[in-house]
Amino acid sequence: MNFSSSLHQIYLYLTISFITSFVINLSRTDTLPIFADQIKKIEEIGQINEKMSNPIIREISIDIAKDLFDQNMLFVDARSEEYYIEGHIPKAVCNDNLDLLITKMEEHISIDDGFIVYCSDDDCGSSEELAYLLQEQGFSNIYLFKGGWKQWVDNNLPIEVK
Amino acid sequence: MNRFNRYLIVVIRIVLGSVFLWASFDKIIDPAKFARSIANYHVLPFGIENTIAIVLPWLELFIGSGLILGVMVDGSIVITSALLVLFNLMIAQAILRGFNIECGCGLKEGQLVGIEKILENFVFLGGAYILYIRETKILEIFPKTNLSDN
Repeated sequence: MNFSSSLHQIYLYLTISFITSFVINLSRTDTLPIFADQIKKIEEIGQINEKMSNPIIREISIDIAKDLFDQNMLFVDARSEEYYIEGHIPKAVCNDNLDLLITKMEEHISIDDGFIVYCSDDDCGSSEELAYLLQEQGFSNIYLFKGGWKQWVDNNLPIEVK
Repeated sequence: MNRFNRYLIVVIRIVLGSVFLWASFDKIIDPAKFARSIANYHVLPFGIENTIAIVLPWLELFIGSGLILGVMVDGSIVITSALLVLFNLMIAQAILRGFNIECGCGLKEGQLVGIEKILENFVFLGGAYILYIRETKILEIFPKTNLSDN
């Protein structure tokens, strides 16, 4: 191998990085799968579980979100508080601080109860981020409403402002 | 080449290397979080955000170290430039699609995608270009070069 050649150096950097990263990843206690599992989508309300023993995050549609709202399931707003104050799904909880958010959630549900996380819209990403953070904190039955606030408002569903 | 320019090359190498080294730490510690940041850009298929989240931080660590220590600098510069162009393309498409997402760049916690980030990457790209066209290779320990430009 000619180490003066940029191309050979690139090959070497890539090879070392691939080998090191995969070996380290396999040796971690929290090994990351090489390919991400896609979040499963729930098609009908019958697939909703009130309690879950194994942690799982599943995606729900606007129709199911509405049904669960009618059943008084807890909504967690993953947007920042400034947006929450301007308008949110009624009775949803929100806090920029994760520990305070969990305290608020635990006033309403226990750790294995189901709840719904949402953010602005399908592209915001913060609902998914928060769902994983809450899963790491021990919550096991998490529903992700990806349509979020925008889809909720577009469907003329009830809102609360405070 | 005058002495000032020679030392400027070394300074740029250390600054650029430090940026990549620093950016790699958080991603190495929490690759799952980095994978979610990548997924938020909505550009990668088949769940390969995990593969990238596993490999990319280590690549950043090695090229950053290479730039600082003077190991295979030419290769580091090419990879650095390619990554910076790629990052800018990712950020630009996110801005154009109206995504208000965290950059996931690893430099500053909670930094959102935006024009500032693109400009910042262009500054780094400028540094990489200066390194690419350097005439003198000083303090590069592998492949071994002269310590002075004679």
